[in-house]
Amino acid sequence: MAMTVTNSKVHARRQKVFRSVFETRISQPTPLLPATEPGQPFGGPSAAFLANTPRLTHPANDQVRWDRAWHVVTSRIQLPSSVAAEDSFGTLAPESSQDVDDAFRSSLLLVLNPASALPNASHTEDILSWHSQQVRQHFVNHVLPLLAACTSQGDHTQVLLTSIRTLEAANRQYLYGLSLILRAFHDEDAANAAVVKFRRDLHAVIGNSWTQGLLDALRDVFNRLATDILKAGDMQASSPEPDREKDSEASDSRGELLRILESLSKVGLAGEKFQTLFAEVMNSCMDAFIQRNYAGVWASSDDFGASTVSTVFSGCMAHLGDWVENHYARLTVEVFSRMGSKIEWSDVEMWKNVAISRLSTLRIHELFDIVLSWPESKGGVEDLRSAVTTPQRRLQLTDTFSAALQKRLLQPGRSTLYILQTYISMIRTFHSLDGSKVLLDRVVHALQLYLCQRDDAIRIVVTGLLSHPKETTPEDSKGKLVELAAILNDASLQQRRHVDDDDLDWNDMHWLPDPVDAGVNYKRPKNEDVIGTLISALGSSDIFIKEFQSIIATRLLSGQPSIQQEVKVLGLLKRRFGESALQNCDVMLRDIQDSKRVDAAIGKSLELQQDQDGNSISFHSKILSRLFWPSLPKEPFTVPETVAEMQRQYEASFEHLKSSRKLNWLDNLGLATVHLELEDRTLTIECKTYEATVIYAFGQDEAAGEQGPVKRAFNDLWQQLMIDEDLLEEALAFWVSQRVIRDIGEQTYVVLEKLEDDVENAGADAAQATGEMEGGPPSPRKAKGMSAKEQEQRGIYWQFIVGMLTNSSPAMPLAQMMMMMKMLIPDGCSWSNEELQDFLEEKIAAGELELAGGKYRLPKK
Amino acid sequence: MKVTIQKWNTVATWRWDIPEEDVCGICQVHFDGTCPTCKYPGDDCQLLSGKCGHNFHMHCIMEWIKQESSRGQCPMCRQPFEWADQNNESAGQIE
Repeated sequence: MAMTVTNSKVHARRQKVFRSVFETRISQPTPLLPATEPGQPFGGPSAAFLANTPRLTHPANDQVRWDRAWHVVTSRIQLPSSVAAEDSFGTLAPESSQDVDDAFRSSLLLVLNPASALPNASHTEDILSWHSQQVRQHFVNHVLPLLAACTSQGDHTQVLLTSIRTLEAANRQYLYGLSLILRAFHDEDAANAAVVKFRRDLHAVIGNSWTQGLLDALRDVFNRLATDILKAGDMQASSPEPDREKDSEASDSRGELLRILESLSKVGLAGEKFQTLFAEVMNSCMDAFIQRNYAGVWASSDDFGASTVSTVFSGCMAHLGDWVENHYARLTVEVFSRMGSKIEWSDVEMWKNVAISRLSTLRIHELFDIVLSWPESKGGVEDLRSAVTTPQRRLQLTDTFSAALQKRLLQPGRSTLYILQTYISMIRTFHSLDGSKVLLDRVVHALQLYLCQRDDAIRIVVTGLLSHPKETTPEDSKGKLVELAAILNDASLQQRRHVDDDDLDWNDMHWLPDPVDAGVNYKRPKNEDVIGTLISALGSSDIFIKEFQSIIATRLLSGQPSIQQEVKVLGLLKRRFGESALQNCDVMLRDIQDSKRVDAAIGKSLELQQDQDGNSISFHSKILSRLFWPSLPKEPFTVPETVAEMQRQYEASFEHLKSSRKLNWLDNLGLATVHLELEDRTLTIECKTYEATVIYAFGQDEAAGEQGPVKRAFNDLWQQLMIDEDLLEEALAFWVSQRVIRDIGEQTYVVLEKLEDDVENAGADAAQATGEMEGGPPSPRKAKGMSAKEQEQRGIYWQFIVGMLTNSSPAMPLAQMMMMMKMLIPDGCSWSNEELQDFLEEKIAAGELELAGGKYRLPKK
Repeated sequence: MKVTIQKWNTVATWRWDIPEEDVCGICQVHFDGTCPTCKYPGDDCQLLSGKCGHNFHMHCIMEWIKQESSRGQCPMCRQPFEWADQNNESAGQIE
């Protein structure tokens, strides 16, 4: 019971609230009666009569008169109830005859002033609100469906135009009704107020009637027009001779845009929604403009210096600022003035900032490509430097760049050389971007870690440092970092290195505080220092120095005339790593210099003897301090008798010169020049000493008077010369490739006295020869071509493995072995899992090891 | 085929011509290396052989002899240290 009461109460209250908000009780116009002659029961007195007899005051009468007046007025301004086509309600009601008009006017006066004209009418209403209500309903019932129909058209421009036309027609219709009412207003202020109120109501209704289709259409059309207009500010257009066609196109578009805009604001569509939409359009226009004009354009500022206005920014930044000011802001100002609002100068400044930040975002994303095409991309870096100023943006820059780095550079598909070259460009780009090096340090960490995995990185850097920048041809420099040598030899870059930076240098007028985002042990670098940064990225200095030693050793022994480059590089490295770390290299260089002197001195005394003997070998030697050179492989063999004789003499002279010292010959190192006299040709060839020894063995037997060319079997040579098999093989391959000897099968070689003899198997041999040439002297068979150092290392590792399996645990899986070796071998284990596995498999094949259940163990004896 | 060797550029290492020990008794560095104060081996860091048959880096044994506590004795065998005349010795070996 109580429940129903409260329910009904609640219902009533809800109704009340609803009504207070929405006026549902406003009446519809009274249906038009067929007969309106006076005297009829329902017709009442005619409007004219009523107007003429105002004194007839009776409550019921007043009410009737009011009702009649209301009826006349409402039926006059009533909107057509249905519309079939868009323009059907566009035609205004036909001009009515004079008497109807008079009747309407008098009725209107009654309706408008019921209080004074008909004081006794108990039920009166406001005609204005009735009209706006009617308009509202008409709009919802008839215009909206029409608009929806409009948007179903395909072409966006068409949609927009028909929609606007529809709305214009509707507007005209609505305003006509209002204007009829307003005729009766004598007070102009009141009339204006009524118009304004009505417009506001109407615009509120229309402004909320955006359909998705219309929005899309408008956006599309605006986008197109705005793009056309703003195209005038493109880079190409800013050239001295502007494109006339483009200009006229732009002004056409501008006209069209403004026309649309005006009609929009007339029909009341220029409200908040439109402004939002316009902002979106302008926003995307800016994006598109920046993308179109600046993506990939990194020309340096000089290229379009003529068009720069601002001095703070250069290059693209200046152009962009210019564009925002002269094109972007201009369009916006025009649009806004049509809508009756204003643009402040501060807004324009803000847009400039927005545009510049967009450009810098673009540049940040392009940074990796900028690095790759350095130094052609200097302009791009300039843009960035002027825009990337806040720590946030710096962070964004490094994050983006790191991601690009990971994705595009640090992957197996990139060669170490390429990575290093990119790194050099990175150092330079970032240095010009940010002299403090903080940014570089932040992105470079991943790169450094990755480089440590590349075994050849150090070798490439060192050979790059040691290469001769002027002598190298483009082909030569393909596999090398010639850039480094160029930097090293650039005096201007070197001089600055000598300036000692000191924080306590109070006279330093270029002092700057450390950047806010600098790390703890930050130290401001004085210059870009490519080499220094590069070397420090290669991991521990020990490894680098070791590698440097072995490379420099090979170079010093290779017989190159000058060691200037080495001395220079050594000086550079000394500054970086300290004197003592590079002591060995120092001694090595000194050895070479000393032995030149000693060799000259000994040479003089030898010459005297040679004159007596009639021997004409020019014999030279380098005398090394053995403890200071990286492992010098010694592969002794029997040198030719004449050479051995020279060696004895040389030794004697040396011991005479340097008291209580002896020489050990490293016969396998060094170069010799041999002169070969064959039946149809003579050759002078520079080759390795062991190669000379081998070919000398072929020349020896001629005196024996054997028929035909000299034959030698591999094994005979091997025994005769007591030479290492690999060396012998290498030497034979070398002479085959020189077409001095020929392989006739069964490991026997014969001298090629005449080139024609080679014709029958020239094809095969030539192919093999070129193959050998390209492959270089080391034999392609890997296991055999192992260096002495590697052999030694394998020996040590094997010892360790045997010890481990004997003492530690009888059977071990691969991973555990690897771990033990990595931890316990003093120099660490340079092998990977795969290499160890290969090694162990070799041992298994040799029967020295067994594999059982995934564990390795020593075979039981 | 007639083969003539015109040039022979080879490589050699030098070592001190001393019989047994290879480490300086004082600094424990190889004789072919340098004493702790030197940078370059060989000419800059000569050896000194005592008549007792012990060899040292010259700089090392000099330091030692200079000290009061050494009393001029060889640090290895505690005999009075007298150095052998090197030039004669080496000359003798060559011949």
